[in-house]
Amino acid sequence: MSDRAKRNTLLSLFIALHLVVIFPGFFSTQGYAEQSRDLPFSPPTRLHFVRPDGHFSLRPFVYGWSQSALDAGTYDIDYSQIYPIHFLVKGSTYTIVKGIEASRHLLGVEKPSRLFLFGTDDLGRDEFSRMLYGGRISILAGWIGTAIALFTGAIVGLISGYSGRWVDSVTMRLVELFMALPWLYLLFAVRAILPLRIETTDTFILLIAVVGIIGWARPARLVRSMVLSAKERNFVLAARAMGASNFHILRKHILPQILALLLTMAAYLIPQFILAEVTLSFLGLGIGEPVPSWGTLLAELQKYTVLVNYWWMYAPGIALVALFLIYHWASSTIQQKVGVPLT
Amino acid sequence: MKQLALRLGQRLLLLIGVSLCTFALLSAAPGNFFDDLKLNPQISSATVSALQAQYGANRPFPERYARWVESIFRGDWGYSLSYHCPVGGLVWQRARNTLLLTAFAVLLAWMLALPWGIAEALYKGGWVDRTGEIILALLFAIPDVLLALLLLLLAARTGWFPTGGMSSTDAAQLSFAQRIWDLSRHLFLPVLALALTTFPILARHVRSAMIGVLDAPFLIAARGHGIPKIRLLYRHALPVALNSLISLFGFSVGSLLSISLLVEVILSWPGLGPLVVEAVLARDIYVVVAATMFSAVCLIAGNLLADLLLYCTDPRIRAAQS
Amino acid sequence: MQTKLQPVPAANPAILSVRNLSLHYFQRTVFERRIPVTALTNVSLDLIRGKTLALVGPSGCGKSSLARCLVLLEKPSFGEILYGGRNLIGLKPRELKEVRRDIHLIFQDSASALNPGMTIEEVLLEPLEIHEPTLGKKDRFLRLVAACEQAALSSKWLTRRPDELSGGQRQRVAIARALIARPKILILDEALSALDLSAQSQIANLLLDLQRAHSLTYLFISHDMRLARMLAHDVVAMKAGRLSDSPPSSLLLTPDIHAKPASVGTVSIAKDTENIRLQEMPSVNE
Repeated sequence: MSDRAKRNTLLSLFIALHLVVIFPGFFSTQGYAEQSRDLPFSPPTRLHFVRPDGHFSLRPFVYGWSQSALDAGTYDIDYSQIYPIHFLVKGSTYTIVKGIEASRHLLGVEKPSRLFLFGTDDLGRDEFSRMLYGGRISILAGWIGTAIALFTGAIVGLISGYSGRWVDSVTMRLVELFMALPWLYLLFAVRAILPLRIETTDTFILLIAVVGIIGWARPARLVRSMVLSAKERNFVLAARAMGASNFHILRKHILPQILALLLTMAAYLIPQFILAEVTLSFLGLGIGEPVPSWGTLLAELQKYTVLVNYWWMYAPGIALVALFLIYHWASSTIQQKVGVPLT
Repeated sequence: MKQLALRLGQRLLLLIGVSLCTFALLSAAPGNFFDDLKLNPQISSATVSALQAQYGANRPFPERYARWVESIFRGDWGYSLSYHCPVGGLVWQRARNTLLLTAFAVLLAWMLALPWGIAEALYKGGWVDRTGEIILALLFAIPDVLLALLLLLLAARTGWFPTGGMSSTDAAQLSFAQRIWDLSRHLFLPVLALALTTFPILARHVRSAMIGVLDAPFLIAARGHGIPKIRLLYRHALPVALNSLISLFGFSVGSLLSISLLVEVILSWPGLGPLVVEAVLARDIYVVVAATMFSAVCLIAGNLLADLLLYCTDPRIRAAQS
Repeated sequence: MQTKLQPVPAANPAILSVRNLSLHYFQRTVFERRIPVTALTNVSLDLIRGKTLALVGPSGCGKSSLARCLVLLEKPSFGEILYGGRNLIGLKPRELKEVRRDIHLIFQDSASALNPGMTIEEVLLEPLEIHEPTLGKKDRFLRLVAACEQAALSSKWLTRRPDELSGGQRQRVAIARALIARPKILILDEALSALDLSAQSQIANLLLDLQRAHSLTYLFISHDMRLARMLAHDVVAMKAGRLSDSPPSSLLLTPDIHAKPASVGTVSIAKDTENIRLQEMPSVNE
């Protein structure tokens, strides 16, 4: 595949992934809290295209299934019940944004059958839908945390680098201080002083904001060193010799370079913050039930039976790997395009 | 030498700053910590008031900080309410377990990263480099959470390794050699998990350091003198490359207490990680603070180590002093 | 503090005068030590309108520090820079901005003097943005074209970025950038030193043409005596931050037939600038 084609596919993948988690309601098959108590830990529903009588059907379908009467925990397929899959079905309602509701889903199946693309958990909740909603939480956490860290860091770095002298010295000592604190432990320490259960999304955003603020040090240092070196560049000196004001120099010469740096750092930081949220949720310190997050979904795997038997519960982990690979690609592409190396 | 003393002084100041920060965090815990204690029926009110008096909970901030620092110097890090024992000994014991794990893991990571990075640099652009980079990218993308879970699955499915803990239940009856073997069996998976998550970054840095050296003019000149390739690599190129990796090594050492948190939790290794998690869930503030201070000290010590090593190995720095 | 301009002999119309300029500063080393550095000591010189003064000396003798002081990138520790009847050192920022239009600095390294992220058009328009922000689009364009023409810069380069141009072309851009604000004095800080020989002669000829056409004053700073002899009406030498008393040795090797008797501190080389033309070498690239 040519370079350009490869780049376009990866870019589309990147956008598609984020679209899916921004609108989890539409792409999921049901709500994240809907339980089907009669189908705990059911494996992913198989889609078929060939009917039992040999006919090929363009529209995929699923068979009915239920818990085996003989062996609880396994499922028997009932080949006589055939439920075709429909697209753009009307299902449970969900909110797109505050106040706007919809009920169309991309995929669905006729009642009374259900469609579990990634299987179910112990309460019979659809893993696929929970993964989409969970992805929204985790990825959003990554973006918000990164935005806050970069914003605070950039402002501090800009002021520090441009003012120089004692402002710079003091800021750099502070940066050293924050970088001397082990990040994860600091996270925990901060987490410890916040309320234990995070019920609503608002408190969750507060948590992520705090997580983000902890991460201001490294961006501040990078921005500051960039401002320092930009300040001494000949083209800045030339502009100053021509009579340019500080504002002009900042706007025209320094800011564009900083934006490039921030973009590079964002691609590198977002996965880290996503992982931070996943870690917190995994340990039970993130967002609370019933809102899912990839961390809470993965936490199920700590139970022995789940770990060994129910392979579909690993899906959030696979999703994380795919996510990091894509962000890694995005990061190196940005670095190539923009040409700002991150030491 | 004076430079080192200066650095040491700076780091000590940093340590004081860190302790201030952590203590501020401690004080910021919402509500009076002792209110929670009073609600706990297991603790008598007499104990609560004794603790309160001991920690001067109602005094102004500087005084409380001074008391806290003084108590630390006495070795008294506070009292853990979930474990009903002094924090100091508890954290120290767990820290030892963590260090055991991470020391081996960091060693393994470097032992993997060095040949990997050097090989990639030597055959830059070739299939060794490209395959190596792909594997590293993949490993880099796998979060430590998933890796630890997968190794746990491996242990559960195959039974080759214990699925957690630091020692078997009958450890007390084993001979010394058997206990060592038992410990190794328990160490294997956590060390592997940690090493696999940390070595990709190290390998990348080794690679770029080596590439930087291999392109240098002095090496080309040496080759022109007819020095054989192997000797070139070990006597000329490697030392210079390692020089730039020293601060990375210092950071590796410094992070010994902090990188293993998740791995310890998942593989049930009784280290600092699970302790901190439980402490946060149980609002056991003193444990969290002590653990944070321990790892901060470790980080600062690691940086100092890097400074020291750089001073010893880089003749340019020593020359600049005189 | 403004000082009155000292009466200047009519035969010596100095457009810019430097009097007793000294520059001391502390240099910070990597290990935080502060070393006192004396860059300039008691330097005085005059720039005559329409003429070129060459300032020669070995590297590190303070030539660039002097250049930076003249465009007020550095603040001298002592001394005066007199221009238009005023001492530039004590001037308020607003008045200083006006003066900055008249005195322009051309750097040695053209690549670093131009922002690599900007197109040539943006680079050239920057002085107008600073000094004449209210200028209309059409007027801006006219000035742009005029400056390019004066610097013999083809307009096809306007949409390119600095790293796509050769060294000689970049210096033309730097000169055009200076010209667009209609300066009176150009400080050429080793402006030809980084160029290959053919580019050197091209740019040198360009500078001579511009001087003739617009009555520009040049301070030509160089360590290259050959170029200094070719461009300059007058030469001063510097060594270790001071003006050197002894004339540069290579000058003594080939006396110019038009030379007037040497005066203390400077060596005068009079020349007939109308007939001077540097031999142009065939250029390898354009």
